[in-house]
Amino acid sequence: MERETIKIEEFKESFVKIKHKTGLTILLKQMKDFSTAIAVFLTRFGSVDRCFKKVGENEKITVPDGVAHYLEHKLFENEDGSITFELFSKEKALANAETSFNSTSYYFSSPAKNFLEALKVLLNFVQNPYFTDENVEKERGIISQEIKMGKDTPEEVVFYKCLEGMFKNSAVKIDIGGSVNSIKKINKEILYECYNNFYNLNNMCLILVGNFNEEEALKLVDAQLKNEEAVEIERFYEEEPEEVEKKYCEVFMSVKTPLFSIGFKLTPKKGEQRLKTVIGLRILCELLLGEGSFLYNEFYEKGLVPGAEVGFNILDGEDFLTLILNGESENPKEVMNKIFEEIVKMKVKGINEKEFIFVKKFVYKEYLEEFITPEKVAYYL
Amino acid sequence: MFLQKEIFSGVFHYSFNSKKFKFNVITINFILELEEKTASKNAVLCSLLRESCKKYSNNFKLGEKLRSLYGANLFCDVKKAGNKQIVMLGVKILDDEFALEGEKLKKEAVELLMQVIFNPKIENEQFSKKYVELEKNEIKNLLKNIYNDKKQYALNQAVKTLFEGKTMAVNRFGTLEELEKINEKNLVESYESLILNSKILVCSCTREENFEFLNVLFNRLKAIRRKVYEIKPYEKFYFEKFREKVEQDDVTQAKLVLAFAKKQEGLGLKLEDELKIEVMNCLFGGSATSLLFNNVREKLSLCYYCRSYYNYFSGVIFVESGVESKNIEKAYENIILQLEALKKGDFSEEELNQVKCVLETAYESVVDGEEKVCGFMLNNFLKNRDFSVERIIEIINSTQKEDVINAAKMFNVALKYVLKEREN
Repeated sequence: MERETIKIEEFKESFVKIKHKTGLTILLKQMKDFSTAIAVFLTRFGSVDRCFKKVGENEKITVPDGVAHYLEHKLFENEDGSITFELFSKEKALANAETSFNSTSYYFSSPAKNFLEALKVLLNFVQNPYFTDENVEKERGIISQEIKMGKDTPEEVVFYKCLEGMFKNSAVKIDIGGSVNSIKKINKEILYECYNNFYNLNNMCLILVGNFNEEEALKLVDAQLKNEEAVEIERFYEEEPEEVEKKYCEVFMSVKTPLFSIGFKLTPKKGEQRLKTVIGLRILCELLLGEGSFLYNEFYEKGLVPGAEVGFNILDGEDFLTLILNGESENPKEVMNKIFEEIVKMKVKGINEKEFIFVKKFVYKEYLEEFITPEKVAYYL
Repeated sequence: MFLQKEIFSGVFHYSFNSKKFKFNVITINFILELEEKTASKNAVLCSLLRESCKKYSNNFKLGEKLRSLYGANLFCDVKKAGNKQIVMLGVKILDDEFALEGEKLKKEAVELLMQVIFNPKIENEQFSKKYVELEKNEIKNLLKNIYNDKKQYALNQAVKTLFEGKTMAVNRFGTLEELEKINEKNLVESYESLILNSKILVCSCTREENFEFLNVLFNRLKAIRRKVYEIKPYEKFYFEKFREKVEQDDVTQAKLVLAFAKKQEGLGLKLEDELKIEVMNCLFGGSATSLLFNNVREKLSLCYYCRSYYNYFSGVIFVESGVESKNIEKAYENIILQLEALKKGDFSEEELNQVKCVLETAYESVVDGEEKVCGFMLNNFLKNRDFSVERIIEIINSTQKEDVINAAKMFNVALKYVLKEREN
């Protein structure tokens, strides 16, 4: 077991990184002043992982859209009939799960005194899938309704429409949950296939944050983790051209004020450059659109964007990198033109001394903010 | 630890401090009667105060100030608690200990809040027409856009239908009609009333135990000759007759909202009893181990969400779900069945213990976040209770099966609201 303490001197913070003998990466951060603790068990398997093969095997496997999300729902099923949420409740833990484009996470928060028992529940249910024809079928109705709920949520509709416009081939343009039709093709065999490939401890990470005892937690982890052969996966992504598929799309829904998403398609980055680009984009958005910026003032004074609030979303994966700005406006095209103009100005002028000082303070505050509560630290790690 | 005290007549200070926090949050809450005629004015006023005070007369200047304070968050919000409206202004700022150049950030934050509240841009007895119009538009958008999110819209329509003719039907942002009547002059009267007549709660969640930095604010409030209104008791809703309403719209999935109300005999409940209702609601549909989740979602696969909320201030439980139109009746019948099961005591001790555990953790985590702490303190104030988190957990854990049965028996279905896709 390799153990490394990673210090962040500027923020007087540190956390521990462990490479467990099973291949699992463990990140730990003890916060003894807090009353709760959080655990996140994560696998690098998200909605974009539609085509893959085991290293050393010849056959590529292609799965229907929405399978990572479907698997997330079904993993809560147990062979002995026990209900995972009830097992967590008994340990006073609040649990949930989430699927993104790149990963699936299972997590809980519990009072410090219940942490170990709840962690046992988490490690057990994620490592023990139980899929049957019947339980897979039962979930179809629930997930269909979840997908349909999204279709009645304008923010979600306009967000995916923007991704569809930007990307020609990448699976990032497809709803994380898939579609009502694609999930009809999902069965227990497909779920096991994905589980056996992606839920291998070498492809997973466990994050423990908050008020818990490190030694006891690691002892429990040692006892609960299954020793299994490392599976190495090769993932295949469709080649994606640099240019966007469509520059402008509209979708009609019954809304009172139009909603917009403005997407910027960037070339995906690797390694350290990937992290630097994401941080750079965050700072750029704050300078460009945050309170105190020219655009914020302009949108507010002209009443162009309600609350002058333009949100942003950075999606970053192996084969995609995009920045999406979103908000509401009676005149989205004018908003878009103003943003473009300001970006051009910024490219020419660069940023001034005052802005630079702000950026330093802002980045410092943002990172301190990541270390406020166990939830935030878990997300940061 | 939590401290609650009345600083002087009508002004209260609730506080919590802990070395685990790196940020300080201070909120000032003005508590007023919710009225159709004044709700929009207070809503406009809330954001207008934030956006234009004399010292930071436009957004650019305010933004610069916030940037110099490490991107401090100056926030404002309008809330509704039954027949009360709360105008809140607050700030979240890095603690002085973490300032890179020894800046006194806490002091600056209080000064900023005071500028915003006591030094608005009023000239010749009127606010700036331009900013009033901008803020009116903001509130207009917020009111109009309730329609965009169909889940929210359905809930809003259900509230309007159930509380028709009552104060509780008024939206926290008021109405479009009243909004139109607002101008730069009549808003000055609303401002004066807010400062002079409302009950004020200052909440602080800080790293340090020392509250001296707030004295400047308390002294300023003390210097005002205030005449605080006597706050009316909460207007509770009681079951009279069952109502049903169906509306059609461009939706992919039908939205079903049910309301359950108490009969008159539920009057005079103690605060402890209200927490027992909270336990019952959590078992009904307030958690992932609830009867609604396990039966309507998991067993029948009818929906993705089916959950219930208990609104203490109106005394009503709302249930919301999204289902196929053809399944509306089946979902409705099964939701009713779950409440009946509770009334009959058709649930195990184990199920009850699970929801008690869920509630315990939810309350215990309150003290792990600054905003959560401020929300808890405001809630305590509004409910006129001085319960600590420990006391609340104690009451929750003392709730017996019989208490849950009795709590469930108080409620009857009072409304069935459906928003479904257009037939043609």
